[in-house]
Amino acid sequence: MNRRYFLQNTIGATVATTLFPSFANAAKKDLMTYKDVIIGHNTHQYKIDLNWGALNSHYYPVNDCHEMVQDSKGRIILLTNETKNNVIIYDKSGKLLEVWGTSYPGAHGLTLNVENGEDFLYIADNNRHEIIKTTIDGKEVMVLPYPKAMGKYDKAEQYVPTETAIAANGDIYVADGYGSQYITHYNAKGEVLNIFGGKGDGDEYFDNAHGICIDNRMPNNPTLLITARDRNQLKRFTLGGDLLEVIDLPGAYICRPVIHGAHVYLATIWSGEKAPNSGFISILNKDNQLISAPAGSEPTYENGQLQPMHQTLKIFQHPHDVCIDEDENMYVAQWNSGKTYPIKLIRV
Amino acid sequence: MRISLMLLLVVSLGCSPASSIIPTSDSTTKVVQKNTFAQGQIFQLADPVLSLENGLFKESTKVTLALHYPETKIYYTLDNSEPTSSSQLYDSAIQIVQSGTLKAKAFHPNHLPSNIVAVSFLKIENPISTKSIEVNATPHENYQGKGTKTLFDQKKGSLNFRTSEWLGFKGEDVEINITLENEHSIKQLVVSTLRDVGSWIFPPAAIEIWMINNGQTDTLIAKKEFQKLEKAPPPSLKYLTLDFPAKSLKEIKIIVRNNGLIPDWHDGKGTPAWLFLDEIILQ
Repeated sequence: MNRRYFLQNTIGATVATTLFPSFANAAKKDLMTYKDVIIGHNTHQYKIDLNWGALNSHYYPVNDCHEMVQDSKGRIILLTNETKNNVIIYDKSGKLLEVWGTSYPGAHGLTLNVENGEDFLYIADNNRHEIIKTTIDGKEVMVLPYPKAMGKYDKAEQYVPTETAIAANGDIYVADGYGSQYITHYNAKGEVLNIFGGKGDGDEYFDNAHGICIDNRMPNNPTLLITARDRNQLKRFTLGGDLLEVIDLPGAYICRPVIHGAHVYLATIWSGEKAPNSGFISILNKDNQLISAPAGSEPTYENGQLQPMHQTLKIFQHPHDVCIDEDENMYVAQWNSGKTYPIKLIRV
Repeated sequence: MRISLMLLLVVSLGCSPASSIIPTSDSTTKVVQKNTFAQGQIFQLADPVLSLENGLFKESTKVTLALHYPETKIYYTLDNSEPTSSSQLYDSAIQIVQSGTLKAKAFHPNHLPSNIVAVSFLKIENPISTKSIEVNATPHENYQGKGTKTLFDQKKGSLNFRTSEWLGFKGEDVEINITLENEHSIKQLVVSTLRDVGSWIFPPAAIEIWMINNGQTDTLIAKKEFQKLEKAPPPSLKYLTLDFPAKSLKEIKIIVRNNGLIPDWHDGKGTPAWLFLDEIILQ
């Protein structure tokens, strides 16, 4: 059942006024003065919980909060480049459950994949220049070094991977967003099958290939969605590496696409002319049109073109990733935000 | 009253699914969560988006302002005063016919007002044609603009320093030797710069204009020093003007002094500051 309908149907004025008249009067003044902020547009609007997941930074510090995913048990997993605890696991209320990981100084990309019923994590470490596959409790099962054999890289430093995506057959795609901009395609055993993208002027090339995901919204035709963040573009490729389409999101410096239901959610680290602390969140519908921009301007299309986006409210500093849970609530991890913990957005 | 009651219930019910699906032994967590939604007045409006058609103009230019958020109003001034909610209300593109500065600020009933955004524009009265220009400093390889002519193309850069309208110099003083087509009476030097402290781009420490006396020591005509910044102001396009008694000149040297090392209060402390120039004007 859709929770929003549930609310609308249940809150009759009868419930409130007959059961709690005196409480209502007492609360009235405060509610008139203090109004919860609601951000976003159309179907995707949210209230903001700034305190979610806040921990004692003396014991459980974070540096940049780079990415978040939800595991099969419903837990929320945060990846930070703080080597005291690279992985912090919460429940959805923000209660700390577990921490692990001390050897990922460049912990940046975090992807979860379920393999034979077991959750695995793929960490893109842009300091180690490696991808590390671990079990959900942090045992390393595979390390992928830079793909030297393909002839595109002479040394590890040219390879600064930012994200991974795992296909249904276990194939691994790695985006080298801070390095040479190639997308490297491995099989599940870690053998390189293909390499594409790179730097260049054409649509098939990248400028900060920061995030990648498998778009499985059309079950019989999975494709790759890859961000070209500095071009404010999302690009669709076949799993074989051929360009299919380019989605322009002017003014939106999108980090990584996250598919949830029929929508694509993208933390947008900067807007407009890339000023510091100018980020917001982008939400695309099934046709890949921007329909909601929490903390950003109302998306408007003219002749099929999205008009340039800008931030409207200073809620986020540098949103770097989002995770959407089954309640349709959103967790926002931030880069360079003064070592703050994630923000939770509650769908209304 | 009915509206406020509904809000109350949305607050409490809106949170409960999140806390109830994973059972928690700590029942106080739920209670605390009910009132943790952020309120409007703790958030500040973002900076209004300011676009200037052309910062250097002969007849007129246009400024537009935008912040696409319901109930937001943008107020502006053209007399260098701080905009308030009793300043001029912005409703459509502003026509500019004189040199000056526009300052704007956005207001909203439920949020803190925005920072002030500002832009300066300059009416070019009598552009003087130059015969040769020589820049004795090397722009950084990433910020070479369109070469030396960038400084004399009467095209204003935007706040985006990555565009080809800007020359970026790291740590160096910039010395520019100019030979005019003919001897000309000059009384003002304008150096157009970018201040974007968040991107480690600082205003110059000083600007100087010298007369080149061939074979002899050059003569300093005028010099202006600028106070060092003590905190980070918002990014801004700056016209630094140097007025002096009119003097007939043909060969001129302009020196734009770099800020030097980045001050201690900044993340980049102790490293060379960037200096970004997009235009030099003599009138």
